[in-house]
Amino acid sequence: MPEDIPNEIYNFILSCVNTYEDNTTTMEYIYHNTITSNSVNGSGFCIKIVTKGLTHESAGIGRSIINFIISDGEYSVECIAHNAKSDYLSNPMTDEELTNFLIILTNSQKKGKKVDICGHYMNYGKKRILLCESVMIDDGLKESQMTKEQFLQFKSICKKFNLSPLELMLSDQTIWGEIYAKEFLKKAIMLFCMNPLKKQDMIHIGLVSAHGEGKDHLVERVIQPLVPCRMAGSGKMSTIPGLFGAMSGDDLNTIEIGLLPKMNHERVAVSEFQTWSDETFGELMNMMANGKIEMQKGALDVIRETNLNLLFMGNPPHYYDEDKHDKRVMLDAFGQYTYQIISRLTLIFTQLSLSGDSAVKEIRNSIISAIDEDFSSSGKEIVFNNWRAFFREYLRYVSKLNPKLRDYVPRINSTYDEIEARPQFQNAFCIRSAIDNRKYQEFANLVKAFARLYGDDKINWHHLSEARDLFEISLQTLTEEFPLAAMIEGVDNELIEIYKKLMIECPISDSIKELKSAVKITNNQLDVLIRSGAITKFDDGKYFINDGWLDKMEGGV
Amino acid sequence: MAIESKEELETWQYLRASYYPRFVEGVTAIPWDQRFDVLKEIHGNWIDRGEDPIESMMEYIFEKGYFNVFCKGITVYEDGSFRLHPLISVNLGKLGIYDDCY
Repeated sequence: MPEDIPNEIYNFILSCVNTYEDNTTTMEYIYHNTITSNSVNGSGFCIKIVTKGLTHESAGIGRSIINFIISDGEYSVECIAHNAKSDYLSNPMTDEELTNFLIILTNSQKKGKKVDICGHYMNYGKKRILLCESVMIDDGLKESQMTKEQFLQFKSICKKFNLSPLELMLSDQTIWGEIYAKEFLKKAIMLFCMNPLKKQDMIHIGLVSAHGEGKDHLVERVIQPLVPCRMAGSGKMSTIPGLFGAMSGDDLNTIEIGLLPKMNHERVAVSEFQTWSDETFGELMNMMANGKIEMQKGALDVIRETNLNLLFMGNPPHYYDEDKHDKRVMLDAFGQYTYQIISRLTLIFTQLSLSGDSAVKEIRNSIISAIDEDFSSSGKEIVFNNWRAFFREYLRYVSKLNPKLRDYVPRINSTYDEIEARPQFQNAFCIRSAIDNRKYQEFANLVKAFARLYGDDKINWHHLSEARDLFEISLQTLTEEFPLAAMIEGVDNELIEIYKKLMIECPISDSIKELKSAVKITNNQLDVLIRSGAITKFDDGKYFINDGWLDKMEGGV
Repeated sequence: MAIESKEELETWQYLRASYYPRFVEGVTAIPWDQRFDVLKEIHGNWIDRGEDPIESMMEYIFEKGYFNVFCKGITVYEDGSFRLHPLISVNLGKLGIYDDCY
């Protein structure tokens, strides 16, 4: 890690940053210009299309108008485009232009493609509506403003000072000045900050640690100032319609944009994921693996692309005891889909302390600096913002690099095989099949992602070594046995409470009626407890609560 | 005479830089009585010498270093793939897992 970054590097990034503009486009700007008639542009998803024939005499014969709604998830704007005569409505399109327009909008609605639109507001009947002049597909991944020359020059300067771009990114003098974190965590976050172009590029990370470890601080102070990242709320504040999109209450032919499609090619952090219901995780699984969600609501059948990185942050279950339990019990927070979610997470860190006991001084120092607003008052903020602006464009640039893995496959395979052969790996991941292809894909993706972070278009052993180190650290946090069997059965906190109550109040019951009078339990919950061995059901209809089940489950036997 | 391929050479570079330091860290954490057995097993062709075989192993390590034994426990193939002796894998840190980060 560089102690002092040479001035030449900082001066170079400053010269680059001065050429960059804030090019974030949403529908907000259009929405705010509702009153004016200025030409405006923005970006969003088409959520509704209605094509109508124009019958007014002055419109001309056989002319059409397309009414549609463009939404970015926060702002929805009603728009029109037409091919009527200009006497009837200004800015007409030709038949061909309008046909293309319709194709693009349909693509946006059905396949979740983002569109850039340009137009101006006008009065149409009693409505204030955006008359569109142009529309084009926006692939969602913002083009990097970093030029090839800037990129090559940056790499050349780094080489001159014997530094790698990744080393600079991990430095406390660039983007990690406001928070203390271990290097492995910094690397994981930098991987998360890349822009996944396709589903194979997605990197999902789980971070389970004790409360007060600064997880939210990490998002607010490091990730969000650097790259677009939205926080999904906890529990009931984050609903399935809110995340995935749902039929609009105003119009059942409209499917609103959820948070996940909206952040396509970007990233979403989930705070306090342990408060999410199993249902939400269930819906999320497909998205995490396939980078898209498919919805059939009302008359609509739509696919929305969700190639994005997810960061799950949360606390271990309340009954977790570091001395008594295996670390993987922390992952109980994923509920009945624990196994499936673990399989889809590229990296998982289950540690009560993310920074280590020795870091108390550094952490306290960071806390005091944040309270005193040292960064904003000392001028450091400007320096940090310049580094962030530079690396934002760098990350976008390198996310499009495509270093080929093929030539390196023998070494990747040997490295992965060695890790996979370890008993810890087998215990953690390979419960259902001898070979875990998803983990292999995730490992190979890590190698490629590190090559991109280094800004290299060819894989070398440094990338493989980085990927292996991080993969192993992640694996190490899942040590020893853990109760996967119970997790697969769907044992959650509520069931544990039911079991404890039954153990005290009704260890043996003659009938299901007696058992249900002791505790409120659904048939489904009862089935899970029987399947997981908590309750034994006898042929004569008696139920026996098995002592030691909880110890067995939490101990991971 | 067989010529080492470019792939083989790069793999050795990777193993030397990425695996070897951990192996040294792992194996030196074991007391010498057990370390002797581990090194002997990895060596694969060790013949006990003198009255005190452990001392002769110490001399061997003193002269040649751990890298010599490390190399004997690794097979690198022409395409760049490789195999580690199971005892090298086990001794790459705690339980074969990198553990010096926290």
